[in-house]
Amino acid sequence: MIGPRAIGEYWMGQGGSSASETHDGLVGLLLLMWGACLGLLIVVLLIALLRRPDHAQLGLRRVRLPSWMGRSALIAVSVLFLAHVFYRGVHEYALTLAPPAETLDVTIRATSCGWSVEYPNGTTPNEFVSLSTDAPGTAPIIPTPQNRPVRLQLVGTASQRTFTIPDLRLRIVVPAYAVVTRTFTPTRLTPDGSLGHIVTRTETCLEQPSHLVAAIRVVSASDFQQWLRVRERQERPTSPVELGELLYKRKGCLACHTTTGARGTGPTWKGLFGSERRLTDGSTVIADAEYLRESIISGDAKLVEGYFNQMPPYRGVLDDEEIDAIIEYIKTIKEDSS
Amino acid sequence: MTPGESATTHDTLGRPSDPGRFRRARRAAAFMWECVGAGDHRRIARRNLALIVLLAVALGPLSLLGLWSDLPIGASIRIAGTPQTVFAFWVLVPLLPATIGMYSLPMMIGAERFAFPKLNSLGFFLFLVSAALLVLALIEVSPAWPADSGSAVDSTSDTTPAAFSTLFALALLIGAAGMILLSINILVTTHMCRAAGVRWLDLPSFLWGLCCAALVSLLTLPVGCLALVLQMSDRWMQFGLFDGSIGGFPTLYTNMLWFATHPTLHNPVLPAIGIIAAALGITPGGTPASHRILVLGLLWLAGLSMLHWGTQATVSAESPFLGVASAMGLLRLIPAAVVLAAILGAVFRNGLRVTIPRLYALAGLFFVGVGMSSELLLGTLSMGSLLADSSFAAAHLGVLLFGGVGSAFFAAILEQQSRSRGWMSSVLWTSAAALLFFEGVNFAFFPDYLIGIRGFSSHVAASLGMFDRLQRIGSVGLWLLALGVLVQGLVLVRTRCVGFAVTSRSDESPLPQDT
Repeated sequence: MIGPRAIGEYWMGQGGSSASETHDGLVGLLLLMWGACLGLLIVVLLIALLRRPDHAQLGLRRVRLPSWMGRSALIAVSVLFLAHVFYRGVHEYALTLAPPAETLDVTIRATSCGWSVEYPNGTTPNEFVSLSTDAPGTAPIIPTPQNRPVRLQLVGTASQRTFTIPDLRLRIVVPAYAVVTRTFTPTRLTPDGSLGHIVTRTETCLEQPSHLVAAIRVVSASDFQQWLRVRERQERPTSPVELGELLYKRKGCLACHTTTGARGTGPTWKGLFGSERRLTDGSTVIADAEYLRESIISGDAKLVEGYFNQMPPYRGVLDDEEIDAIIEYIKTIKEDSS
Repeated sequence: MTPGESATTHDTLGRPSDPGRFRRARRAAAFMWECVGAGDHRRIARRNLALIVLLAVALGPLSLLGLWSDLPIGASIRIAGTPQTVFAFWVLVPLLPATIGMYSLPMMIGAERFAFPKLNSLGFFLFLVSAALLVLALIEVSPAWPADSGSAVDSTSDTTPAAFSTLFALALLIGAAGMILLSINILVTTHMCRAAGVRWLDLPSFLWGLCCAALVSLLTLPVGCLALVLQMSDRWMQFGLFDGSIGGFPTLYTNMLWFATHPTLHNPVLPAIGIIAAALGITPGGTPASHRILVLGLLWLAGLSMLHWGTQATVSAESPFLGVASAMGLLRLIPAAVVLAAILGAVFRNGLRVTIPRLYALAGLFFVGVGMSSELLLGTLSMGSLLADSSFAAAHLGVLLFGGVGSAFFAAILEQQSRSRGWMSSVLWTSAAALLFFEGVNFAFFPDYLIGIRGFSSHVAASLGMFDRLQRIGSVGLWLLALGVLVQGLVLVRTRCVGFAVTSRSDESPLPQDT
């Protein structure tokens, strides 16, 4: 039996998120109601026009109007139906605002004509699409994992921008200089060769006539993690010092360790390499490469006097190459460096 | 013989004079004086109609040609972005109040003239200036037409040239001022100039629709005017009130502008419903109960339309006010259903003798029903946020304005022509025009419903090469609509020129009669 959801999906096109399933059901229900009301209107008008009791007069015999109870019942049913529709609409809309647990945060800077996308680890998309054969692609393809909530955090520019993702039943308005978040959970994998869920921009842009802004490609969770790792390595700087500085920012080191000499939750890195450290057990140790490697991997192996055990271990999080890069970076932060 | 005019061909100085030329000169002088300061509302209504027709003739073909991007049209007149919006503001919004309303309001209340006759004339000249500025703005338009008229005036918009933005804002401002003056005149005249014994409930439904629309315009248009003035101040004097980069409030501008423009676009439907109801048999004397229900429905619709601007998600973004706006939008369905049910009930009770004006009224009833019921999807929050900027919303307004208001206008003109003047139009040509008009509106806007329900707007879909067939059907529909309006206009003009009855009559039923 064809239900409201099938009807909604037929008119809206196949959806791609968990929200589209409930959204299409509501659309189907409303389309059924709309169609029924229109059909009733047409039937009533046809009956009124075609019934001819006498001469040129067209009309029905006198119709007995419903009593006040009947009218009240009609109004009450209408109000209840509208209240139900209102509740479902608000509920579905609210779901797109409240991020559930284990959400993948993707930051998007809405430029004047497109999107600049960044994943939590700083990775950016490496594939672009364009509908024009003679213009280079500028719309990024954004891989997202299947069945995992994704929160888009859009940062606005000087002018308001409106973006629509029809397959996900999302329309996002980003006012000027505002930050807007919307959440969705993609459920349908993107077939090979398909563009994915396209993102369109409503405003016209002189530099970019096409309204295609991005395309969201849904892949399996494992494929997404693989892509993320590969991409992170591709974007990695070749210089160990630059890599170390990048990891210092991306892996959370800067939250506790300063490079200016100021005291933080952990010891400052300024002048750290090669200095003598007094530990909590009263012994002293030279902060060489071996010491730093041990501290990074286990965190609390050798705790410096005056600090508490708050460092998380990075075993399994950083590999040997990354640890060496961080150590190389620490070496460059000397006492007399600004 | 009048003073100064000689029975012979000589004047008082003995010079030969031509009485015919003298009469023509006096007539020309009287006409010039009429143009400047006369207060005869009927003449002003005819002048308004002439100006609106001129604008429609100017804007219509340009927007139709602009739909076909392959044609060698320069960027300055390629207005395919939002021609419907421009058409709606300058042609459809003033169509009923400034022409039929101005012509027939005093007659309906038993008054000789309006309370402020000169205001009508001033309103005409303001409308004329507004139209001229609009044409200048369209000549200045950039290749990138903004997504909506609001952002056309936005001082922070990076795609709209300043000259166009200023001209467009001035055109809107002056047009709104004219509308405010007309609204004041309508309300004061209806309240103060009614004949003795005429109560409010004795007034026809068209007048009620006119007064409701006038009241809403009076309350909302000044806010929109203020928004435009502040936006221009931002652009030219860098006040920064709406510039977010220096601490301004960009959403305040869109809030203020939509507070005025949203009711303005929905207001013309109120007098249209009044015309449709009157044409289908709801009168204060004949069907008092239905008339009272209709009046209540119109008042309810007018009140809710004032509070409805928040359904534009561009206005509310993610604020909780979206829920209130959604509730307002859904609540509008109740008075809409009440109004439609009252009209249908009257049709059922009283029977219906089909004439061309009443066919137009039935078409208008259909379009108003479709347009109002599509509010069901727009008012639901989760769907309305997706559909608000799409072709679905454009189709909703298009069906209401082009279909509903257009049908009501032709129904009123034809009914007035046959009843009060005794002029009869050709049934064949009027029927053909009505059919073209009806099919044109259906083909023009129903494809937009189908495109828009998927979240696309026409220009976005066109740029992506999607829904090509539906877009072409829409274009064909617009041509049919234009042809229907043209044929109906020519028929009306011919009837006006010919005068009395021709061989066939428009008040005869086009359906075969029982013998």
